[in-house]
Amino acid sequence: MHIPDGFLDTRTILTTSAISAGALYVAVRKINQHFSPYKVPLMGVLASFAFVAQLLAFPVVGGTSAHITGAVLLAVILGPYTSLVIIALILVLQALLFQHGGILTLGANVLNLGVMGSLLGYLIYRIKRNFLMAGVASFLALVAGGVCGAAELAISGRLPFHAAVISMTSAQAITGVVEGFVTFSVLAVIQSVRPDLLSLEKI
Amino acid sequence: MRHSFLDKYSDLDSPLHRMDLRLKLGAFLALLIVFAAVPMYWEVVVAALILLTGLFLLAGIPLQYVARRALVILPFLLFIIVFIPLFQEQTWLVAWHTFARAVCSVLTLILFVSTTRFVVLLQMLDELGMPRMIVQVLSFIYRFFFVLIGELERMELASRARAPRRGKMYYYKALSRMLGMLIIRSYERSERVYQAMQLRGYDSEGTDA
Repeated sequence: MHIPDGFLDTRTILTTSAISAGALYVAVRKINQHFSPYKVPLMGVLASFAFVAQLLAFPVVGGTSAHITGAVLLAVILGPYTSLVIIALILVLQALLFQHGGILTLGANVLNLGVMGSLLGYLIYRIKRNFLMAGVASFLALVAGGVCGAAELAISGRLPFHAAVISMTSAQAITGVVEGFVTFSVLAVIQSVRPDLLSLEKI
Repeated sequence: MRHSFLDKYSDLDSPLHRMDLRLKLGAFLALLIVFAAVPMYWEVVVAALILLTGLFLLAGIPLQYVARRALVILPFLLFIIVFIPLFQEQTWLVAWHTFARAVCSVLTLILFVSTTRFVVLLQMLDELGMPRMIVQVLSFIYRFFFVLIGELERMELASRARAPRRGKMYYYKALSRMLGMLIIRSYERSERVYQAMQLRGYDSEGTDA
């Protein structure tokens, strides 16, 4: 769920923007410390991959559909900080080109999907580095993002907290099941076709 | 391939398209902030809508296209409306304010991207001191988006030709495998692209935006 402009109040916009900007600053610095020129096309093309993958709608119960974010997938392949930067850039492009999410709410969306997806998701994945755990991490990261989103909407006074939590988390949980399944099976495909892709430098 | 360029209408010619980009960016951000902060009495909303419609007409962008693109906020709006019964008196007011803010902001965004070429926007980000890596990755996404969409469409065509209509579970598996193959092909493409860039003297500082 990408929060559009107009759904958050000024205070929430400023707080979430500050948190996300801080996280992104750290991430860009980490990437630059371990920079090698081949990373630019690698990040660029894999970011386009995630951008395209997000357009694929997986059918869910009752005519609704969900799309994946790929945050944990990218974190497992490229590392959490690289994944965070890619997710943030994708959110910028989605806001600009599809009006999917807003500009002032970018901070909130980066927090919900990027910081929770890439960083928290990777932390969970690190508990036990296998594909199943990556799937579980994708699910949990999305649910955590849903709780964050609910808190942002509630603090902005758009919805009472319990209603926001119930609706956001259940929506994210459904998406999370799809995301977990896809993360697991995509990693399995990579393992069987190009296993060397899973041992790139992770930052 | 059946895609159109994402920043459609951005190559038209109008006062808004010709406007200095920094000025335009500043003006649009200011508008967005106003829509986020000002209480949306209906007079304000009407004034904002008249202003935005006027600007769209000035820029020569079909209003039908604008309306279609603005529909993306509907799911979120329904999300708020559905939970209204849990709220008390103020609900409709909150829902209305949120709706008005969201509509005005979305229209502002559409106006901005429809009057600004993406490449020019990237150039300006570069001049404003955005890390070069970020600008380069953004330009990569924009460029390879179309290539990868094409790749995905070819894979989907191949899969449909071989296995038309199976159950839902099969669809899930097929789609995941397709994504897996797409990420591998993307990686291999990035290797080839990097080699090609190196041959042409790329040193990671080059202005390729």
